[in-house]
Amino acid sequence: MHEVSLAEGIIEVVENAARGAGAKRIKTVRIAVGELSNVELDALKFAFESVKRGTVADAAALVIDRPEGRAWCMDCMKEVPLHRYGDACPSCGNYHLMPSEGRDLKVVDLESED
Amino acid sequence: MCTTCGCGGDHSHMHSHTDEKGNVTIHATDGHHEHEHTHADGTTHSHAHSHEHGEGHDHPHTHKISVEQDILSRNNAIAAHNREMFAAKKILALNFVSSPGSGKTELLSATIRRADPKKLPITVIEGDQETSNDADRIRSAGARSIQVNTGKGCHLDAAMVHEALHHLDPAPGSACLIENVGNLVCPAEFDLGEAHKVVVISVTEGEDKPLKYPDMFRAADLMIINKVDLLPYVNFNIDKCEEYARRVNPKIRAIRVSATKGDGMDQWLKWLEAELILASI
Repeated sequence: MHEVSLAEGIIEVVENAARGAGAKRIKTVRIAVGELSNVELDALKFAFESVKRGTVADAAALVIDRPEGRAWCMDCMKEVPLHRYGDACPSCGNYHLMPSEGRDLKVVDLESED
Repeated sequence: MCTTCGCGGDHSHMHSHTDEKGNVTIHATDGHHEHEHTHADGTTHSHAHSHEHGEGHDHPHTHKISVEQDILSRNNAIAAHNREMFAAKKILALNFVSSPGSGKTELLSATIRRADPKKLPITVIEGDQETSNDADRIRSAGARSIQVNTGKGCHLDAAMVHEALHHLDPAPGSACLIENVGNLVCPAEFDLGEAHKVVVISVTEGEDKPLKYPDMFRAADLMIINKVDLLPYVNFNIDKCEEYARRVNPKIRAIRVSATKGDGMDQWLKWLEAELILASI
């Protein structure tokens, strides 16, 4: 499952940031997983718990922000919410949508205990 | 230093073996992370970081470290490196994605057999969990190929492609076709450094697949609908399938083919030749 690859990616980013800041024990890892990103959250949480063991984030809690998906509707000529690819524009019902936000997949910040 | 692309790349976590015919198979380690974690042992660092003791912290001794870094930054960095190498050598790289059984390997084999090697030289990177069956089929069709076995892995990543390129060394001005692991979910997330993702769907699948797997159809620039020779025998509404694909990705283009019978293959070859010319500009 690619959520394991993603969890490993999170740990790598966390370790690099912790090393750079001189932090030895991370308490919280905050990530942003946009509504339109291709990630199954439960699988990601499970994978994170597995992959964090023995690392600087061993005792860390994972906090997940969920940025809203948004798209530009080419018919309405305005930005509208888009929670899932394949949804219609909530204003006009058409599908001429270009996603603009909600594809985030990043580590936002860390809270360390030292 | 890597002589193919000039990087100082670390290839230590993958191993390759070569058989008696000179065919190379790369084994990428699966699951848990490849490299050893060497922790900093008290050396000083001049790294700038934000060090906020802001309101809202319950624990007096915690501090916040701003990161703002993509989770896939490592893969994306290697993909960008691959992309630079392709650009420098004017190589057209395509990432073929689909469910297992859509006919990707047959499509690539038929493409190789039809292509004029002077106008459209082709090499192939094959991705499967196990076996080198697909790379062998490509070689039988007449093109050089490298097999990557992902083991338990469900997708190719940029590091695997980078490793494969070292062995394959595609010629300048050629097309490097990457056949991803058959999987309509995970490969959508992983940039390999390609110019385009090409999603292949066959008429023996459901016409509503683009709605059911929107991330993949969103990530692709071209959709190939394969096995059209079987349309008389299945309930597949091909126009609807294209319409569904355009709902999740208004910019996606579609080509209808039968890799085995030849329908649409001329059009597909033309698209490839045009893209190869674009890659050379």
